[in-house]
Amino acid sequence: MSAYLRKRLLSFFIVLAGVSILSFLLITFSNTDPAEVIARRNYSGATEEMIEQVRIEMGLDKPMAKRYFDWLGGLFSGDMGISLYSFRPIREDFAAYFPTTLALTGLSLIWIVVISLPVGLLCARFKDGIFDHLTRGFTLLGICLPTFWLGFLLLIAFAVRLPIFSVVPAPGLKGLLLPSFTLAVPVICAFIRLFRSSLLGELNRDYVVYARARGLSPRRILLHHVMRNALPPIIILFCQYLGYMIAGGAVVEKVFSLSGIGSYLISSVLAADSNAVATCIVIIASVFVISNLVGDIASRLLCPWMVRETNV
Amino acid sequence: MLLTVNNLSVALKKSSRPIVQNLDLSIEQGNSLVILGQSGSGKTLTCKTITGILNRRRFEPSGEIIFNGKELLSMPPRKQREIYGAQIALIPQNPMTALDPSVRVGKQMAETLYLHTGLRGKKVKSKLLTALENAGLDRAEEVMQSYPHMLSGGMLQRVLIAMALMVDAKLIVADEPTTALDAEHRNAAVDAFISLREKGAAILLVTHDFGVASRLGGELLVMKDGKAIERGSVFEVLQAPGHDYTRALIEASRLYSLVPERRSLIC
Amino acid sequence: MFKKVLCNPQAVIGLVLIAVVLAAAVMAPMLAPHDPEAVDVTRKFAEPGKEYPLGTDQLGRCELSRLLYGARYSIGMSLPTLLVLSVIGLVLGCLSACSGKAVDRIFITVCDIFISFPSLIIAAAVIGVLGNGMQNIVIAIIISMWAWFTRMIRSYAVAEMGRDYILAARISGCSTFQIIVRHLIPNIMSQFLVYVSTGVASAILMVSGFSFLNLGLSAGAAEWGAMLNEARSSLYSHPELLIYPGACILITSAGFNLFGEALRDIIEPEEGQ
Repeated sequence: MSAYLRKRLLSFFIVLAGVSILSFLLITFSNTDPAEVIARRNYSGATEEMIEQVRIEMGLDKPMAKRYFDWLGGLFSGDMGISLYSFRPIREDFAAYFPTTLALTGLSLIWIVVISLPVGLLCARFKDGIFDHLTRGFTLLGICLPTFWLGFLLLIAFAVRLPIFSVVPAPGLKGLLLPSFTLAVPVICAFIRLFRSSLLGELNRDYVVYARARGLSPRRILLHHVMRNALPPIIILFCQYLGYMIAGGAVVEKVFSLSGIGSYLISSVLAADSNAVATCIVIIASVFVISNLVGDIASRLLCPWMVRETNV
Repeated sequence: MLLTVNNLSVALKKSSRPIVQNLDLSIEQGNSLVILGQSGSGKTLTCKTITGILNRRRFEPSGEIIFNGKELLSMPPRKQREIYGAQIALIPQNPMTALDPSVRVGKQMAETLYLHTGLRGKKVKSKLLTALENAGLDRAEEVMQSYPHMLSGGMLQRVLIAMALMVDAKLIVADEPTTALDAEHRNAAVDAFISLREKGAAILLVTHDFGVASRLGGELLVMKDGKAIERGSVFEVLQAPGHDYTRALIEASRLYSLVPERRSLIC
Repeated sequence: MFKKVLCNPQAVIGLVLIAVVLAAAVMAPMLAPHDPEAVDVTRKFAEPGKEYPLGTDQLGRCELSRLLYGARYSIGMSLPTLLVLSVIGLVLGCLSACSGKAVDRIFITVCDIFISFPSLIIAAAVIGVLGNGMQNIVIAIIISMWAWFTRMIRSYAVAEMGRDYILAARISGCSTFQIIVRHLIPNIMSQFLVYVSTGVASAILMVSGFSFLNLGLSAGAAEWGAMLNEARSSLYSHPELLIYPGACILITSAGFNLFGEALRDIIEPEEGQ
């Protein structure tokens, strides 16, 4: 275990470093020159000298490696620079947008767990039954659906035709029910399919046969033994989706007129605000890398025999 | 009779071609029966039918399996589960894959014990330790704390034997128990079954190995293409096989075993 | 193999859907009753009729024509993307599987870094740096998916390299290049096709997602995602304008997904059990 942990942590830090370098390069290669944008805002009719002056003030004339470490240090201390569009500190923008994303993602994760685990179990228990066939059809449909379209369908059904929810988001939990469900549907479908095939794969294993010979009931075998062994791939995928859902939230946020990190990212891109974009990117990607690590370790704890190559 | 199998046939559901045909056998308490045959002879399928792990979606059994006066095939699953694991214990072919890899050995033993005896709490541990020690495992405490992948095939087989011991199983069915073991441990495994028999359990052992059969002794049944072609005590059959097929099998196994014997002479 | 595909109803349905969308994309100029970009403000939100089979949108543009031309965007961007991805994936994946341990580790780490960026983020970054344009969307999807392709093909290839026939080929004196071209690629081809087919479906979803977010296409383009975005304002009055483009996206991605899934069932019959 500890050898595995050491190896896994090493790759974690390498990947994290790579992620931050790529994100940083993005600011450097973007078309917009931060010094120019700031200078033009502060002094109308800014001359080349003034822009140069701002560049020196902002430290943009220093060598790239130095700027990278300054930027990284800023990230850790919570100073992420200022937005080139709203000219507010990015940290404040984040504080304003992040709670929505957190609530949206959290609620989606609840939908995912509550729906996909029992459905997957039922499908595996009653394989080739009516329920199993119906689920297979629906999940196939679900992974082909564009999320934003599903969001609109739900809005048309539950806000326009049957006015249970409102099109403009209601404050609090109620306003997040439809968006979080929309965000969860494709993931639920992917999960049910993976969980079902993972369970069925485990059901064919020898220990299931011997568990029957020990007199265990099919239900006990499924819930106490097969499920435990079938969970690791699901946990790993679950943690992978976390980062994706924060970014993928942009689409759902747009459909339901919410303002979270995803839509902040998109509006920053459209406003050519490279500082904010880089910060969003490095944070979302880091969430992904960290949750991946957590998933790998958790599945390893659940199934200690598992000699999972970290890379396949 | 502890176990009587009458006119047992097992057929594939799709083709209705019988793989085991009209098999009769019986075992008395404290006795052993060896079913001997080559792969494809239907011996493993017989074994699966008796221990209730036959895949009923693919295979259709017919006939009677009477254990302790009760017919097993027509028994509702809930009742069957009270017998399997408690009175009939299976020692599967590959001990390495027989236990759930994600649960500690001790926990899986306790699970079975609780299911059949309702025993839980402090008494469980001492009972499991005794069973493991009686099955010939030295560091029983350590074994209980291990996950299956941490133990060797021979040790895991002893764990499975201990599970039969802890519930005082009346019939122990072993499906090719020596195939997954290396030669050193083979004799020890057979000896473990002999001592189980001495304690009063009935042993049904399936093998393709004449050496195992002759070491265990008792009754012998030779199967070919799903039918019993010869039966009698192990020594009778080995000395004077009545069927051409049996004779050929013995001949072949003697030729085959020549090689390792010579080697051991050189060493 | 080909016969098996035709005997599988799911594969046939998938192929038919793909064929319909391909036909729409190729023959859009012939089939479309109007110019998809022609604005006619006097006839906005026209009812479906003889002249406008599916009515018109908020700017009086023919809905049917726009939908037909929309197939050109989806297919026209996702197929080239997948072609490039396949080449990158096959070359890098096989090289990674056949090279030494150190090189392999580097490949894997680079893939891990790229996989850490959700596709939307990469699209945002690429379009932020390069600006709008179809080719930039294609580049964005390639950057976000190449690592998945490489990693997947590498794992197929690693599994295949462990087989005995590769060893036999090595012993009989085949070079690494020969092994890759003659043995490895033909043998992972079927699994690879499954991955490509479902990859097309996800590329189509990505393309429409990006244009829904105004990333990459100029305003007013007859792309399904962009059409959905424009129709947002008529959610109450004309919800059907929201339904048509989404249904087109669904049909297209379902076609490729159904075909890919069926192909997998044909290749690995035990998978579905």
